[in-house]
Amino acid sequence: MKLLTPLFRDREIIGPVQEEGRVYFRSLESVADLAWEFGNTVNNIKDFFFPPRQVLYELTGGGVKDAIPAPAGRRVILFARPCDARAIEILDQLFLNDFRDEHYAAQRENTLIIGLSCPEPDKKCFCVSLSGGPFSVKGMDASVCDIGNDEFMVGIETGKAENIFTGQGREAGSDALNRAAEMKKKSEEKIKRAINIPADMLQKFDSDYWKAASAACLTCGVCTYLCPTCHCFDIVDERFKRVRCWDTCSSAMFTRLASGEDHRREKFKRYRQRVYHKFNFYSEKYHETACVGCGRCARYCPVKMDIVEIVNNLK
Amino acid sequence: MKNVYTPESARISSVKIETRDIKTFKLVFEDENARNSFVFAPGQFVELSAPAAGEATFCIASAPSDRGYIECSVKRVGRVTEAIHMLNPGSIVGIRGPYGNSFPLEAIKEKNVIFVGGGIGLAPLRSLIREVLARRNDFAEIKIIYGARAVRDLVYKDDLDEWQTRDDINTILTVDPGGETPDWKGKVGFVPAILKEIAPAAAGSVVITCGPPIMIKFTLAALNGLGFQPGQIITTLEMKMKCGVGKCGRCNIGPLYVCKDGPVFTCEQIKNFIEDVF
Amino acid sequence: MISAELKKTAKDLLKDGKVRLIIAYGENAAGDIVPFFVTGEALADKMVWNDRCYYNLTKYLTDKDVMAGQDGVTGIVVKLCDLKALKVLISERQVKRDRIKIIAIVCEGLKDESGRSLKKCETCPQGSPDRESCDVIIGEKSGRSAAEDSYGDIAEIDNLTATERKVFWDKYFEKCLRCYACRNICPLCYCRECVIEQHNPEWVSPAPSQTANAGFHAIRAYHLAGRCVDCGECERVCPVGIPLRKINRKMAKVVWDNFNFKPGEDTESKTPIAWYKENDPQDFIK
Repeated sequence: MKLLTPLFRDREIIGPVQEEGRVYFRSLESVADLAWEFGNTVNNIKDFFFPPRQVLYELTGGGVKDAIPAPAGRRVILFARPCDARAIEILDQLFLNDFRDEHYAAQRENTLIIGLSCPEPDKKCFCVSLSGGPFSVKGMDASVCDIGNDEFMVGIETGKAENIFTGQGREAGSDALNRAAEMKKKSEEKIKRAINIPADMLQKFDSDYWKAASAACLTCGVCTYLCPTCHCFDIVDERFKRVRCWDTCSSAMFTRLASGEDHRREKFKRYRQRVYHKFNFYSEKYHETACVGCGRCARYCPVKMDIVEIVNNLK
Repeated sequence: MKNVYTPESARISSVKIETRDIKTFKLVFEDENARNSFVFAPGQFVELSAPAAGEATFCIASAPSDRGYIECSVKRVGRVTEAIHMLNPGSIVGIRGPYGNSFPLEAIKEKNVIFVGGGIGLAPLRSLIREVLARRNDFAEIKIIYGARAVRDLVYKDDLDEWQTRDDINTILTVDPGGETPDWKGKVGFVPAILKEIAPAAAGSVVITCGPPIMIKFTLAALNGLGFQPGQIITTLEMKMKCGVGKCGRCNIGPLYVCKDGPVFTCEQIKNFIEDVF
Repeated sequence: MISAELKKTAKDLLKDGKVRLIIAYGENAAGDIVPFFVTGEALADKMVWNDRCYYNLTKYLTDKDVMAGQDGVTGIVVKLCDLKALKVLISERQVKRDRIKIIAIVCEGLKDESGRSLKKCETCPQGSPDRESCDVIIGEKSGRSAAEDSYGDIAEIDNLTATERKVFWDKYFEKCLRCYACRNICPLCYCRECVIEQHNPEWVSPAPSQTANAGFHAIRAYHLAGRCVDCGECERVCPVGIPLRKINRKMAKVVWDNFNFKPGEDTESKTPIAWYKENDPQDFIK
């Protein structure tokens, strides 16, 4: 607590909070609102760089009024799990390169990500098989690890975080380092699931497998909206505001043209597209698999479709 | 810091009624800088905004050599196109672009170029055709095979008349069986069928095709039968698009984004995903 | 044992080839119960039944991808709550009675991941589906008695002031992500093109905001009035915990109070919202 209170001065703090039995990342009023005991949150931190609804610009009497966020102050995202922190680096590839998305960039520059290590992964997690891990610091500006005894191991991972904990704590001794290393090992061992992306995945695109594999899918948006790396969006006009909002390639309307033509009318084509986009197409373009193994899709899918099973069983 | 989602404003300088549901709009940028810096190549598209209705993708149907304006042909099918159709000369629209890649003009030089178009699919082809005809001697034989459902659905009738009078190109027009009028002098038959009839030689040729997915499907089959390799066939894909800049994911096919890596593709490039496209 | 009898029933149905698909419950490698599509006797061995068989499988009878090419008879495993939804689907001509084989299970109540009974099961009015409606009933009529549904949760909200009620619901509609899990899992939301996704004209913005989300939920509530059988799946699958059953139950209570009608009791009656009788109450017309 004491460690974090100085952060709240002059900054918007976003962190996990309890809401009726579930934990969400929200903007916090005070440190007291923070949830300390949680597996992972329902939503993830992409919400704060790529929100569910965002005004792109507005048409006013005087012309176009850009709505690029001009954040008044700085923001800190507290206690992002390693999977969620890592996901932002994956999203950066899309939003910041080529036709730089200034809405995303503005928030990105302005935000510090302080991650929290994961000593108790749950049975749906599979970050390790995607070059992540419960103690990974990828994507974090600073990392925090609760090593017991009321002590926290803090790592300053990027220049952005250099001064935020100044004057607090001392350099970690070998005992603390050992405890952290021990926790890391134990935690990694807890992750029994592994996704195995087949090398010949592309060759299996036309396989009959997809019809049966996708049969139970409801084509809703839960997996997409809770996924830390999913980023498809729609652009709509609300009167004179042009707004972007989350969308899902699973949806029956996603590729439908006004003329009625739709090259993904069948459910299995849309399901296949989502899987391939995350595990093959995105990496071919941006050299990153668009999945961090957080397990939310499997945890929250209304019909418990399991992406690990789907990919591993692909034939 | 440029907001990639914000359009430039342009004024509609004229509206031409092509068919009962297609209009061609001539657009001129309001801002002189915007007008001068808008440089495009045939095949590229723009995102047109009808204020308060929405935005949609339209290929540029005029050629770069048509200076001072761009033309977009709009088929009335839904909310945005309906809103655009209700606009008159003098109205303001928003333009974002030009986006996408363009037809490989250099690569098709000295080849026989066969254009195969259907319906409003002639729009992107028209840009290239006008450019090609402006430099006629860079190319060998030129054939234009174009068809629509019925005579009244043929677009760019003025251009069609002009092309038919030229003797340095071969223009074959067709309408679907049942679409002919008593005084129709062109062919009657689906475009792929007419293509088979014409049976162009594959050697030294490229085909540039655009039209409804069903037409393209059969056209590709016909070309395959005539010995054309996927690399010799160039098409421009129509796909639902939103952002136009490769971010929203809607036009993603394989590792390609139709708005960024396309919309112009050779069949070689998309052969792995033909299943997913047509 | 229900599981064993279920598998045997399935195999018998599939044997002569008249039934080519049975929509049932299965289990995935991670141990979750999932919708399971049995297309042959070999798969029948993998059917399961336990107190985590949550899904209202009747949803899939209107899924055109699942039902593509199924021109024979389709088997469907149902609990009592699911059977009610199926009766509404039949009354609305979405499912033909003679094209399905109804395999009803005597359900003893469902439990959540931590072993607690689901709220809806506490007031489940009957232990066993009626013989006349089903082709097969598996399980013995349970001795379980259920509490009377007092709609206390509705009264609680009705007793709030309008302002308090707004605060209550605004909090939830602010959270809604418009994932449409509630709509897509509902067997009675089977429209090919949902009004909420219509662009021309657009009734509600697709972008999530408190007001737009409230609009979506209100429209859905009206479209389900007199049709929703309170299978509760919508609320169970909502990732942000919106108490959707309260909305649908409120509508159900209004329909009951005004028209004395409960959906899902037979395969002929339709929701009062969709048709009229000459003696319908009119006292609200002033």
